[in-house]
Amino acid sequence: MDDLDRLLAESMHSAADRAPSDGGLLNTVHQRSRRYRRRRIATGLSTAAAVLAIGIPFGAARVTPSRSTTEPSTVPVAPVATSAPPTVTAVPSATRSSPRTPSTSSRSSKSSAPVVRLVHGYSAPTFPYTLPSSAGLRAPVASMQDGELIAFFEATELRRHADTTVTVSTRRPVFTTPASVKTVLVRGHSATLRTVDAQPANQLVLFWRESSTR
Amino acid sequence: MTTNESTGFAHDTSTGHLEGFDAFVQVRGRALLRFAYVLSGDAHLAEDLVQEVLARMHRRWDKVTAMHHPEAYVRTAIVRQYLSWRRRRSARESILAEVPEPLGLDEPQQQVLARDQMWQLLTGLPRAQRAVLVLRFYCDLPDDEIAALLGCGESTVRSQASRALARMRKLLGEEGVSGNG
Repeated sequence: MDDLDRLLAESMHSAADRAPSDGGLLNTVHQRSRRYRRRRIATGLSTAAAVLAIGIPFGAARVTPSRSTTEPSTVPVAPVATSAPPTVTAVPSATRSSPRTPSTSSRSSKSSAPVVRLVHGYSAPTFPYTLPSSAGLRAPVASMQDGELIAFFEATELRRHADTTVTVSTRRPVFTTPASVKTVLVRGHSATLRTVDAQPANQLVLFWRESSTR
Repeated sequence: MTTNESTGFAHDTSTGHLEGFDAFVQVRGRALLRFAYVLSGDAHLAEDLVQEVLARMHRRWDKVTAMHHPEAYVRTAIVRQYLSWRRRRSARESILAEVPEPLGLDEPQQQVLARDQMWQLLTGLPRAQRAVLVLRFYCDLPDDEIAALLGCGESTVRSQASRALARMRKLLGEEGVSGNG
C-alpha cells in the first residue's frame, strides 16, 4: 500500500465518523416498509383477478390492507373437499372465533389429500369448485358464511407481498360500507369494482357473475 | 475470524446469526450508515440508501438471513442501489478540477487537511470508480470479492481502481497535496 492508498483509507475511515446517527433508523425503516406494503396492496388487485379462473356463479377478488379487515365473518371452520390438484390443500378458515390450531397444522400438509381437522360434531361441507393452486398464494380455504358455502384464498403474494383474498360464492356479495363503484370487464363479464376508502390502504373488491355452466 | 466493527465488512458470519430484523438494524445500523456515507459522500443520501434497502428487505428478512452472510447481502444491495440511483447523480457528483491549496501547517493539521482533500477528490469520482475504491480501501475487500459484489469481472475492478487512482495522483501532483507519508 503506497502513500496514496494509505491516505485514501485514512480519509475514508475519518469521514465515516461523520456519518449520520442511527438513532431512529429502525423506526424510519419500519415506516418506509409499511409505506411500501401499502403501495403493494394497492397494486395487488390485478394479481387477484388473474387467479380467479374458476367456474362459479359469483367471484369476488378482494384486496385489503390486513387480515383483520379482510376476512368475511365466517362462522364455522370448514375444509376443502374438492377435486383440486394434489397441491391444493384443505385449509380451514382462520376465523377468530374458531380454534387456530387446526388452521395452522393443516397449512403444512400441502402435498396430501385434503385433511379434515374440525371440531367435534361439525360436518364438513363439500365444496363444489376446484380452486387452482397458484404460486405465491396460500392454500385455498373453504368455509360457510350465512349458510352459504364459500371459498377464498388468503394470499400473500411473494413478489409484492400483497394481501389478497379471492372469494367465491353462490350469491351476490352484499356490502355495507360505502364505496365508489365502477364497472369493468372481467373475462368477458361485466364486473363491479368497489373501492372503499380505508386506512392504511384502500380496500378494493372486484366481483362479477360467472356463467352457471362454468 | 475477526469482525471489523467500523466497516462491518467482516468475513465473520456472526451477524448472520442475529435473530430478527430489528436486532440486525439495531446492531449493524450504524456500520451500514458509515459504509453508505463513505460510499455516497452525502449524509442524506446515505440515510436514504440504508433506509431504502432495509425497508425493501424487511418483509423478506427470513430469506435474507437464510443466506450465508446476510450483512454482506445488505451491503451489496446498498452498493447497487447507490450505483442505480442515476437520477441523483448530477446533483451529487462533480469533477474537481482544482484541489484547495495546501497550507504550511504542522504535521497533524497537514494530515487532517490531506485527508479532507482526499475526501473531496473522492467525491468527484464517477460512482463506479468510487465504489471500487471504497470497497477496496474502506472495506478491505480483495478484487475478486469486489468483482462478485459489483457483478463485474476482476479486470474491470482493477481498471476502475487504476483509473481512479491515476486521476487522483494527477490532481494531487498538480496541487502538491501531501499526507504523512
